[in-house]
Amino acid sequence: MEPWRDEYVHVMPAAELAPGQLHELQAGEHRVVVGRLLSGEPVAFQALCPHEAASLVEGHFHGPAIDCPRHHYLFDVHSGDNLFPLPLYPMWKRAQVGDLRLGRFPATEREGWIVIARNPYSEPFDRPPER
Amino acid sequence: MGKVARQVVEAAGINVNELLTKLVAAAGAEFTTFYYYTILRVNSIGLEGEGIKEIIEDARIEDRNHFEALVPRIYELGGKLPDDIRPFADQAGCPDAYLPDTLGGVAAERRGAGRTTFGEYPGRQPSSVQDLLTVLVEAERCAIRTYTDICHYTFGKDHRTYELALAILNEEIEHEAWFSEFLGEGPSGHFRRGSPGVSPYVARYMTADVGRQ
Ligand code: FES
Repeated sequence: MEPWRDEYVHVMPAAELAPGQLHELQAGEHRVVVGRLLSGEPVAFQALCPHEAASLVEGHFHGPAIDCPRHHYLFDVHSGDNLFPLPLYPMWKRAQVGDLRLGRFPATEREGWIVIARNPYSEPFDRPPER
Repeated sequence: MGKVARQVVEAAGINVNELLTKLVAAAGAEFTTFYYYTILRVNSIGLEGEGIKEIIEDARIEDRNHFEALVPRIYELGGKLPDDIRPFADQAGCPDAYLPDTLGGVAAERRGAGRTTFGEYPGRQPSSVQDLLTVLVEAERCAIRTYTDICHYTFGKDHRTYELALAILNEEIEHEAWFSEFLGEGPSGHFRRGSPGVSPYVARYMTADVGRQ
């Protein structure tokens, strides 16, 4: 057995994921959105927005960023960084908001399948934040 | 509320409650942006700042116009604005456009070093106008994403909302171009408005008749 088979989960046939598309699915214990950037690269990240838990499968790609449909925050799908609005916020507001990072899963294409890692780059958040 | 107006949209396959969530969020974003642009505009001072004050004013008034134009459609579809402004602001579809650190710091931090006979002139950090323009251009880009989403959602199904969203989108795209051009991101295709906030695309949807000559 290929070593990556232990570490990766086959999530969907690669042919079913067109550039710009997003799909939500269950991968192990996580709700995950799998998408394909316009460049053709498959990516995977947590299903709920780190801001207020909107469903990211309803979002759109803007370059390498996912645009959340609810408040249009942008998250880099490679680094997990928030690209908008955190970098624009003044220090006092940043201190209030804290860190907003998107949990990602390594994703690739193998033998006609989209496969994603079982272990995320950072712990994804599967539930809405406690209020 | 327009009973048939809502029914035909539902019959076309639109989830009207979801559409209303989008429209109220868009109206919230316009309302809060109007507020924050007021603060950004009054802080747009100095040789460079005064130069961009007029377009901030255009964008500020046109964003208020967008709010005015959205409200009747929300009620026609059977929706409403929240009774309390606080949740309304919280559910705004774009984040708040805060004054950047280089303009909004403690006054003492912004003072110039040199004293004059009148005391100290307020100093301004070198990047403050750039920072201000960046806040403005990103706010407009958020608005473009918002109305593109509503256009996609309503295209071919809810003609009236689609046309309204498209009219607003046209103005948001122009606002982005103005600020982007001031940032030097590309050549300018910018023409002046005849008067501040004239809303060439949205004016025909406005029942409150503000911002027009
Ligand atoms: S819930 Fe995603 S940006 Fe607010």
